[in-house]
Amino acid sequence: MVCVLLFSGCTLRSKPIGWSGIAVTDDALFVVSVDGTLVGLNKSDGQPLWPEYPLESSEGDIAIYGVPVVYGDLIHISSYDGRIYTVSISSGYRGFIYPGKGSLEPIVGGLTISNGKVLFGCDDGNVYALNADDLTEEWTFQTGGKVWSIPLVEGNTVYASSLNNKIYALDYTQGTEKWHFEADGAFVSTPLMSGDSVYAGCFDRHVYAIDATSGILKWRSESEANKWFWAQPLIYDGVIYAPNLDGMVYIIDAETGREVAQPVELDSPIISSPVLVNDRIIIASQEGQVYSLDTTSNRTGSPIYRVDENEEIHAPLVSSRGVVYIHAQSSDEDTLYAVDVETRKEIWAPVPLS
Amino acid sequence: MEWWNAGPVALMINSLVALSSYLYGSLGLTIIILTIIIRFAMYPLTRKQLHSTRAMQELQPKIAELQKKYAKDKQRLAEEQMKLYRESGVSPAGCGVSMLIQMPIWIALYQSIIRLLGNTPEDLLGLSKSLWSWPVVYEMVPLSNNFLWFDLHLPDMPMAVLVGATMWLQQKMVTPNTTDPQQRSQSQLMLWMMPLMFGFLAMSFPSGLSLYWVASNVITIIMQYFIIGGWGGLARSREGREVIKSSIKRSGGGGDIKKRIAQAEQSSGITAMDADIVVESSTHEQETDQEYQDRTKDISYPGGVKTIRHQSKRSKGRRPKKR
Repeated sequence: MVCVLLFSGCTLRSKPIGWSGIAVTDDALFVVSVDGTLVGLNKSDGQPLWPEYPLESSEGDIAIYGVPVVYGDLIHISSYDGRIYTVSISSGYRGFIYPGKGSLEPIVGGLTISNGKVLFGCDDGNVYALNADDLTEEWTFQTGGKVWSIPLVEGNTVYASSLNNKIYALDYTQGTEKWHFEADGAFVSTPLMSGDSVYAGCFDRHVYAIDATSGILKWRSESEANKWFWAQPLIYDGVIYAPNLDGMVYIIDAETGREVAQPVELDSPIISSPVLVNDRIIIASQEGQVYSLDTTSNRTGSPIYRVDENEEIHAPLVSSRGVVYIHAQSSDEDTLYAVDVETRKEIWAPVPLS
Repeated sequence: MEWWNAGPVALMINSLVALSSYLYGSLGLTIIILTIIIRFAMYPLTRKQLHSTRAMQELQPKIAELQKKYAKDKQRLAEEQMKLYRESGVSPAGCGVSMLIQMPIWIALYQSIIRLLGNTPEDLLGLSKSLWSWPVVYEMVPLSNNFLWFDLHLPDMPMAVLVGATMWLQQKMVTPNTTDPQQRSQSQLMLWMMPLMFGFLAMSFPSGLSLYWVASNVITIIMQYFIIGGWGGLARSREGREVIKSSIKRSGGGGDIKKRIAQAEQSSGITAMDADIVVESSTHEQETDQEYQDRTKDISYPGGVKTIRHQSKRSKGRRPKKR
């Protein structure tokens, strides 16, 4: 019986695979494949800019969950092995690595670069601020829980959400706490800022609106979803579109927290953060269907695109000039798609990344 | 396997999470408490299983005799064996049936603990599919992974040692009483192999699983104590040693010591070697204390073994007179 127990549990724990977001510049795309290779593509034809660059690590699993960030000539990538990698866009060669020796605990959420600082959250509960030029540490702030979101910078404030049920507002310069807000469940996605409010979906199945200056609760969504809010919500024209793991998109008035329309139901859970293209919200379900939600009618029709049936969509969508870029994956393969939202056609053939 | 994940495993996961809300969100404490609850809920089956196992072990010498007697007549052997089981009230399938009923419950609990220990975004998303629509469940996850001195997601050496040690204790209590050399060597193999293997494996498991194993083993030891009516094999070793020592004392180290020890082994069910007692050969009974020490100073026995110097009363410490 003991041996049966042992073997029954052998395959239940996942190796981190990651779902890298896509960084977009004027003429290039950058993404990390599931086998830990940085790929740079020409945006117009999907051709590689340079040979693929494997991010090798002796510190653990290279799995990228965040979005690579371009700063000057360098692409910055945060990895599950607890390191920040930089790669030169012009040459494809490696630049700085942080930390210089060893590694931190896993970095899940991704990083942001703002006004010369690199900011990211970590499994050790810290929000880190590094100098963007040489990756030296400027400050850290301990939240008490894992930080899986990308810090949001607005003015002189950094907003970070944590798995210990809290959202923090920190001073951008010093890293000291301005306020924190506590809900009944964990926050995993990056908060959303609009006007003087911060919005976030929570594991307690509600969406929250918090005053950005004081941290006081403005409202908690009236209706309760069926599962966790995982993907970052999107706000357009005073309406919040909050995707949920129950496969629904909840449509909530940003001022009052009331539903303005029936939730839109997709075919499967929604993990990928949606993107706005013109007045349409492009949303992808986990099972690989891509929908276009009309913000006038708050309805979707049939999917506008479908990725390979063996692949799923976890990575956030990104758009540029009417084209939505999709990073889809299975356990050991992944593909980059580029779809014109209006014509619903690929602008170039899907590019296998690994 | 959807039915399995959606049914028993989901039940265990949600039970663990809901229970943790009453235990300060501590996954470690929850693992211990739920293991205790399930163990005691299955006590009737466990008791039946232990009784069956013990009864089967006690019948082994008689079965061995039958096998010798009817070695050439398989049919008669089978008939006699069934007759023996009937007369003894023992069912060979008894312990197996109990174990079969318990197994799905243990597998479900084991798998649910593994899922709750998941540390990656993929693990957390996978876990979300198993959660029921209870507010307390959604709000508790992810659970705190710190317990006592260790992180439940990571391996821990002291916990791995505890896994091996508690497993050894549990096995020792139910190790059968036999002086048959072949059966004894098999028992010894089982006694040491499983704990060592598990202890070794536990060095690479998340310590949350080690915690589950230790809790389960401790509860089994407690149950065995009450079911068997004592410490079983653990006490036999100690009692046997006392029986053998007192036999040696009564013999005064004299010429009948070997006969005494043989009788003591028979009555206690363990050998002098098992009781960690070595009796020196009688050929040196004329040697003095100094000669004895010089002779044995380079002989090493396993730690804890007592050596009994076999000397006759007449020759103790004295050389025979030269003629």
